[in-house]
Amino acid sequence: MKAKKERPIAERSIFSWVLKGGIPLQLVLLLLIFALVILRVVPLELQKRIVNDILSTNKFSLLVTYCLIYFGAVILASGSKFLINWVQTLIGERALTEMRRELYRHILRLPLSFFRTTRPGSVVTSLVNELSIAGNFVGMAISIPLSNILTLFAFAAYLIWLNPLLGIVTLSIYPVALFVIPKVQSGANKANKKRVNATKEMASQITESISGVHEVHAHGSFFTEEQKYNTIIDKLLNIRIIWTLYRQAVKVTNNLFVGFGPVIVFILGGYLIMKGEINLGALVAFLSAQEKLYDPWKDLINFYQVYQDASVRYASVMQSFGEESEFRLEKIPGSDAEIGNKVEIKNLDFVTPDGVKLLDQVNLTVEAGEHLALVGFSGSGKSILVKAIGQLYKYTGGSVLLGGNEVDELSKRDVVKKIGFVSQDPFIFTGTVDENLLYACKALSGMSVETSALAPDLEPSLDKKIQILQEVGLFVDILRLGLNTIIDHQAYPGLEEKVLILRQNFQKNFGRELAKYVEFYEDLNYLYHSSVMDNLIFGTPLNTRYFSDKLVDNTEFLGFLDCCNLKKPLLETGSDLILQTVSILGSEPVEEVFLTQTPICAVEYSHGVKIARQLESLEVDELEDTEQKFILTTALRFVPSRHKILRLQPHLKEMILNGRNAFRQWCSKHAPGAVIFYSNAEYIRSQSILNNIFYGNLTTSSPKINDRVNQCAVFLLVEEDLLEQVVGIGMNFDVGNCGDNLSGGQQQKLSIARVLLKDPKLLIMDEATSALDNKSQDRIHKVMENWKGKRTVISVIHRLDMLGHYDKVAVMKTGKIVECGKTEDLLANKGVLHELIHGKDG
Amino acid sequence: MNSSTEKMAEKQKYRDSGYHEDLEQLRQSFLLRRLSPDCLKLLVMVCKRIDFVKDDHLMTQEEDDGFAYIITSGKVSAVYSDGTVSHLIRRYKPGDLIGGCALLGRMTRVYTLQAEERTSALRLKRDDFQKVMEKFPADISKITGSLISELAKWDKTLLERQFSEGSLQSRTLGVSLL
Repeated sequence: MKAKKERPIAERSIFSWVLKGGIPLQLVLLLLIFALVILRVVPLELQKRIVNDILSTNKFSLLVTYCLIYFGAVILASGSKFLINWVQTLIGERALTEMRRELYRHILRLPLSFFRTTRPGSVVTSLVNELSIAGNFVGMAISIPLSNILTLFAFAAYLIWLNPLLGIVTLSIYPVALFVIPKVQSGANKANKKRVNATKEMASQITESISGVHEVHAHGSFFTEEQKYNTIIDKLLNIRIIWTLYRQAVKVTNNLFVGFGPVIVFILGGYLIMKGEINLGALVAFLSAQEKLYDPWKDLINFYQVYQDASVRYASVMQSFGEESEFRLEKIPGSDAEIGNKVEIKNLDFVTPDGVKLLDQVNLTVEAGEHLALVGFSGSGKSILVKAIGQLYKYTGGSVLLGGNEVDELSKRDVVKKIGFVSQDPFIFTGTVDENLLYACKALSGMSVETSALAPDLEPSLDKKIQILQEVGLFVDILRLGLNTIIDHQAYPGLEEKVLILRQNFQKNFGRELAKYVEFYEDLNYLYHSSVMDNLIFGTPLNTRYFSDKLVDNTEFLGFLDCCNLKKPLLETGSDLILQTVSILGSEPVEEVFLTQTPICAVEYSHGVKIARQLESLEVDELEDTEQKFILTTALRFVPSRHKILRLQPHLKEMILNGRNAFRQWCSKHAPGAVIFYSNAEYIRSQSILNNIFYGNLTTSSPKINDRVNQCAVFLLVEEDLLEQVVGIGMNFDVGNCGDNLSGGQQQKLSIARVLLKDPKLLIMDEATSALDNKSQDRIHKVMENWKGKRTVISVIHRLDMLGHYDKVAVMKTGKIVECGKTEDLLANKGVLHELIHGKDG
Repeated sequence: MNSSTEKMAEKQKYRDSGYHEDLEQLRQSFLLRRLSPDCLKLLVMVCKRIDFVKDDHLMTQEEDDGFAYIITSGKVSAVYSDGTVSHLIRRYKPGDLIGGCALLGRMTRVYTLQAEERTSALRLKRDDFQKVMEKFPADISKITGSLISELAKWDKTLLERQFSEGSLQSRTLGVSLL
């Protein structure tokens, strides 16, 4: 059976999500609503019976029975209401999740041109804020109107059953209210729109005046700016008053109509009692039911307002993402023929929606396995051309054939399988090096199925990964990341023992050469590249109470600090660090990048600000325990060589060195075995592999010395057959948010590596080596030589001295290919390529 | 010690820190000196002290490293290679800012900058610099202003030199004549 094609998300109405929360849940909700309505009516009937039957019979047992039933009905009604809310929340949240999931899925597949004009912030706001109102509405879309309308009808029916005349007259006010209230609400909506616009105008005016405040001061134009601002806020004042009045008017109108109810009941009901057409119990029940009509009615009015708000927001979000994906995502069933890697471009045009022609009748052929360099002046259309070949942009005219297939008509799956695309500004995703390395492979294997997990048989071997890392020149970087890792000894059994052998080999082979760049873990040395805590403890804690994150909660350790008079100077140092950090960075939250030179991290910054404020009026020892612990933690994390906001005071340094000795003695007495102290014969678990090999910290950032360190490390690791294991550890390095923990060059190398790992038959590189050093660029170009005849390469290059590595070169100018051929031929012709290399006058 | 003496001592303690030394270095550089104090403070928090030994490259010809350096100690030289021979262009001393344009956008180096002895420098990274400038948009025009005035000064010197050397016909135009 042919599956019914679902409408594009942007065209779906808000109500289409109601059933996405789950049909069984909606049915449960309906049952609960019916139960609730019945349970709401039962007390009314009981009120009538209690007044009528008990007054006439004086039976206490009957009174108790009625009261128990009443009580039970109230409890069950409350329980039903709770269950309704619960189910309603489940439906709403599920629908919201589904809405977010589908919209995000849709957004990721929108054309790249869409993202040129859409700010990431607006996508975030739409997905995070705007949709939650719509989700909230979807949750209540059935339950609120149905339960309240049914309740209203049930009460109405009950009233009419009690006395048709009184019932109809009492209820007659609601149709009138239904007619009047939407009219008042529509006025509120109009005023609300005006308010939003005026608020935007005010924000714009404030931004302008504050941005140019130096001009305001220079010209003394305070009055002019005030006037502009006052005009807007006066306008806003009127609009807000009208808006508030309308909103209040909705409530007042509603209350007014509802308030008429009892008056009508008293007048008409009293008259009917006098005439004997209704008994007292019925009147009491009538009054009670009439009063209870107010709640469902109020809920309906609120629901109406939420509906209006949600509809406006939902429509606005969906309108923003109304575009559709430009390419087919999945293969056409049965179209599994192998696609070749010859590229033929015929009369290719690319015109922007504004009518700017960026590609103009481009013709080019790249044979299978051939390597083409694309060069040209800035803005000549090189990037657009390779993006059109790589199906990142949809061309507006002509054709691009890949192995005889029109690229525009190929599915995304075919394209990503065949083509590897490396952009100029690669994006590295949060996660480990390994996860980024496997990114393209995972995407390829996960495209046709819901999960993006890589099947075990598709996982490239460590050897393959290492080969690719070496090809792109990332191997040593990853090795270094591995060496700088503090390992979990349980995850790598036997590694510690081998590193101890490396330590001996290092001292034997390279100790003398590198000694001046290492601060060794010697008892009398203060370690400027280690934290205060490392300097003090000078060992690896075994007892969890002595772990770095637990130390300030360890009362015995705090007692030790007191004992050797270290607590006070450490608290002072911690306070200085906090005060200095806050005085530089201010009281607003800051990003991690601005905190690298202070021991305070981004998540705890606000706590630091709070303490800095307290320290303005209190001494550090007057602060509460929690604050003192924070200050102490800050001081213990202080690394003088890294945290330059404060200099380590000489007296503190001496005290810590004395404290180190005292701690060793104290520990052997009070906590024997809690810490393994630094010793040349022991692996230090709190330090990186490299520091363990050195038995100290490397103190220089010199590239030359670091290169030498890498060479020594490779030599030592190869000797002990540990190279692959340490590279494996390096691949688990966390690259940070968007690859922040990697350099620009490392990011670019990683982006090339992840594409090479999926072994594409056509590789497109858009200035993909621009952030690399010359050595790395040369290495990659040399590796590319091996691909000739096997893998087609189209590469936009910025370094024209690299042209010799390519079979031919195409030169672009103002969207056209003006020259194409072998480099030496084009240079001999003294055409555009010659001009590019030697200048106009060359 | 009375409270004002204590406060003085406190201030001195902060002044002695590497942070204040770096702030002074940044404040005295031609490109950054017009920046607002808050912007400079944040720049100090993202710049790093780097050590070099003799022959270490701070920048390499034809590469886009995205760094600017302020030399704090030692000596470095700018060397241009024509493919076969290396030519010394000039030497830099402590306090000099080198490669500031790379902070503003991508550019490949036209010379190699190498340490002649053990050298220390403050290094500013383009991405970090731009993150700071995003927080102080009003300061961007100050950077541009400093750069333009420096370019104009440089151009004037070039033309004067060409004129005095009688080489005005060599068709070499300065940046401001583009």
